[in-house]
Amino acid sequence: MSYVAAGYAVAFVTLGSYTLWVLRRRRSLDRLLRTDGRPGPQR
Amino acid sequence: MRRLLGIGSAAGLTLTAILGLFVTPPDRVMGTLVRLLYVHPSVAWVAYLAFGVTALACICYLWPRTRAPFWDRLAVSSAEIGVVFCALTLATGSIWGRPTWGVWWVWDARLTTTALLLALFIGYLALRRVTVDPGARARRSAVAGLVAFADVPIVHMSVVWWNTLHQPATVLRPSLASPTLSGSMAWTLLLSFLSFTLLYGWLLMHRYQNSVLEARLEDEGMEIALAERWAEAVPSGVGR
Repeated sequence: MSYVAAGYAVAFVTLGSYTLWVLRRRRSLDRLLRTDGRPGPQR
Repeated sequence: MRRLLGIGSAAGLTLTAILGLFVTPPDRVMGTLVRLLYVHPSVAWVAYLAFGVTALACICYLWPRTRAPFWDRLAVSSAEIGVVFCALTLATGSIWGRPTWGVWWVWDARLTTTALLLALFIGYLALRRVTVDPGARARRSAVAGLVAFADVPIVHMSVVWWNTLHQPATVLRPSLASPTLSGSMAWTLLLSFLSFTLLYGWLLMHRYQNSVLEARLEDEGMEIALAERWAEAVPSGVGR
């Protein structure tokens, strides 16, 4: 059963992390485009 | 639409985990290890699907009549998701292989061609970072995407063409008329396929939107850099 749990954990944790990364990237791109279009703090 | 996909996939995946882990019966031969069946083939299917969408988008980009940035962005978005699912296919397969075959990895035809597929699409993503010009980048990566996709049918048919340790396909098999599963196992597997596919659709929509924003950022960054260079050049030119 530990292999089964490991399989589910690997799949769900990886997909959850990737989903969060995509959403956070979206938020950071939105923020960058609202400022001056360049990475870094707003001037 | 996007919200509906998100809610549908989250609910479906939760139900898949509950049914797969606690409700479906153990297998006569594999015992409880059969519960990995509700994760491993579904993530492999989504990897196939994602790379298939990438190949289709690459064809549409290379075809002069349909050439548009949309296809290039769709191709890269789907390829990235495909790489995540392909890596998961190898990881979950390896976890299943250890108690079944006694080894984490074996240079079997199915495993080797899948590892090659992952390497090819990582190469595709890496190639996109090499070229700066958007037109050349899209053209070159479209060709690379098609070359990489050629491995997908080889992966799928590897269990038929060669003698492998990996079992033949459970669902996507040549003779669909003779199912290898029934009852709650079949329904849970179907739900798992549907839920992971919905998740793919939801991720693709978000990832595509990120590609659009990245392109805008690239354009704006270029405009700002040019404006700054002009601003630097004008006073020095006046001074001479």
